[in-house]
Amino acid sequence: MKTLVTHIRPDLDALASSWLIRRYMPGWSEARMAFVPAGKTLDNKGPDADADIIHVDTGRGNFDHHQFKAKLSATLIVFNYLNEHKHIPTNDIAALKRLADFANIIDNFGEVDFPSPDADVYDLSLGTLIDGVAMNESDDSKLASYSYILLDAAASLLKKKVEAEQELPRGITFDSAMGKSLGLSTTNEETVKLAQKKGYQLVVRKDPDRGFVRLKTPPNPAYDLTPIYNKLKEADPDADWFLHSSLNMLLNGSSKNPNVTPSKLQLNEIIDIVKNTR
Amino acid sequence: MKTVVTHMSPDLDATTSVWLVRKYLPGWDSASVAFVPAGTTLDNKDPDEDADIIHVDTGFGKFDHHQTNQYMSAARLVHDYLKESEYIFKKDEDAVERLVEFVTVIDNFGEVHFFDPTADVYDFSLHQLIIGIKSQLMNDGKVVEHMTFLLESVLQVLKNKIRAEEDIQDGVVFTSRWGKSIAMQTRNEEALRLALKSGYMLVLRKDPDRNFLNIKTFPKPENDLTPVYNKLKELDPEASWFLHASTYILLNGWVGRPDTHPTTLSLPQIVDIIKTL
Repeated sequence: MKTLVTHIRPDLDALASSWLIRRYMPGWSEARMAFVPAGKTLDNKGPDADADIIHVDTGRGNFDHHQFKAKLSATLIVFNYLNEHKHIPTNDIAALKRLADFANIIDNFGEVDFPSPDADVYDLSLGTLIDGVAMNESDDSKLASYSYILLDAAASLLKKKVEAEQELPRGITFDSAMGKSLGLSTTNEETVKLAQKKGYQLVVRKDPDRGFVRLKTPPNPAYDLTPIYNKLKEADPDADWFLHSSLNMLLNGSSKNPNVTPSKLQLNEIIDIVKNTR
Repeated sequence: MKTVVTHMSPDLDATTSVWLVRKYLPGWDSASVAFVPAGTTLDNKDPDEDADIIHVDTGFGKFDHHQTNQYMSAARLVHDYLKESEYIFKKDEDAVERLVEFVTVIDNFGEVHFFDPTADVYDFSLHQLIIGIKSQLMNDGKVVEHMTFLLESVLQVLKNKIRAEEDIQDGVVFTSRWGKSIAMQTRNEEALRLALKSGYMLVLRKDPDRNFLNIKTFPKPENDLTPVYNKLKELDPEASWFLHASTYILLNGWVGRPDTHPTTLSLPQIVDIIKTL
């Protein structure tokens, strides 16, 4: 039986490092968890003495960092080990590197250097959320199980973001009444948010699988998608078009409402309509 | 049987609204949750016609906001109703208000205005995590239950932060060789982190119940706590002292090490020692 050991009352670093081992180290997905006082090892043996026992973030062994002054973390050490040994699928490497970097920042209290470091947004972030879960969950094993769901969620989201970063340059850039605009054929909704955060004033996304279309502008009362809504309704009256009350979102289909008829219009046709609506 | 209705694939606004209703509205703590296509209602009835059914973030009723172009969210509407009705516990009010404001910012895509909005740090935050949670769980009911647990945690985090803001107000401010410093007598670990984020270079926290002491400095190379460690070890050798390898953290007792011995030195004594170093 393989055993994964970390310190009692595990924090983000202890949980992210153990999560990486369980998800990516061959043969360790069903490892049992054990918790020891911070710095200690299981049964006070050498941290790396038994090939069936891995210590993370405790014990000063291969996967601890408390013996080093450098800004390290157990998560970054485990990530580097798994990556060097090619245990991480290629598609996951970039996202996991970013997750490990984040855990490393938090474990070295790097949030003190964030802009406006006392802003509430950081208190709703993974490291603090896990601390909050720990306040309501006294069982370390349950805390770990719950946190692994959050880590799975963070990793899947980061993968979508990495994919979005690769997809944006393949989009069609054009000018519209709102300014710099982008058209995308993708199933990845993260592209729409990321494009707006990068400065696009209008983003059109067509889902190539289901045919659904979404148009979004940043939240700005000066932007009004009503004229485009009217044109699209005229061009494809059979499709369901929903103009959000903010007038900054025009939706044809959503995971929130699957009972919608997708538009037959192709992405280039929609872009032409948008370009010609002033 | 009471039912809270929200839209399929619930987002942060929908899940927070459900949580608020079930947590604070009397008699609704065991309400079931139903999901309908966004904008619609349960069985296509009027959203507010049945006293045992509450629609949030869908249906264009009193707890939906999609009929207005105001800066609004369903969570804000539910919160304001609960607050006016005095259903939110006094001790929770400030923290819930801050959570609801965050949800409203996000529901209006306010993150596009955050500093460096594409930075990964925001992708680890509640509003983005829920997207990952949905893709992992693939079940709206499970998403709501997980978010309920998470929102309870957020409430605790924000309550601790508000208490930390008060702890800092009550702290003893002094000058040490590390710069602006503060000593606080509190059980609240968050006070220490918040003080460092607020510009203090050295922060002491003594737990009044367990007598454990934590000292932390702003993490930069010149803020080495070794001299404090050596002096305190000399003055109280019976206590357990742990100097973190970074030298920015000096711990006497920690939740991860319950087998440690607290110091007998008082907070004013320790402040005096640090001042003389």
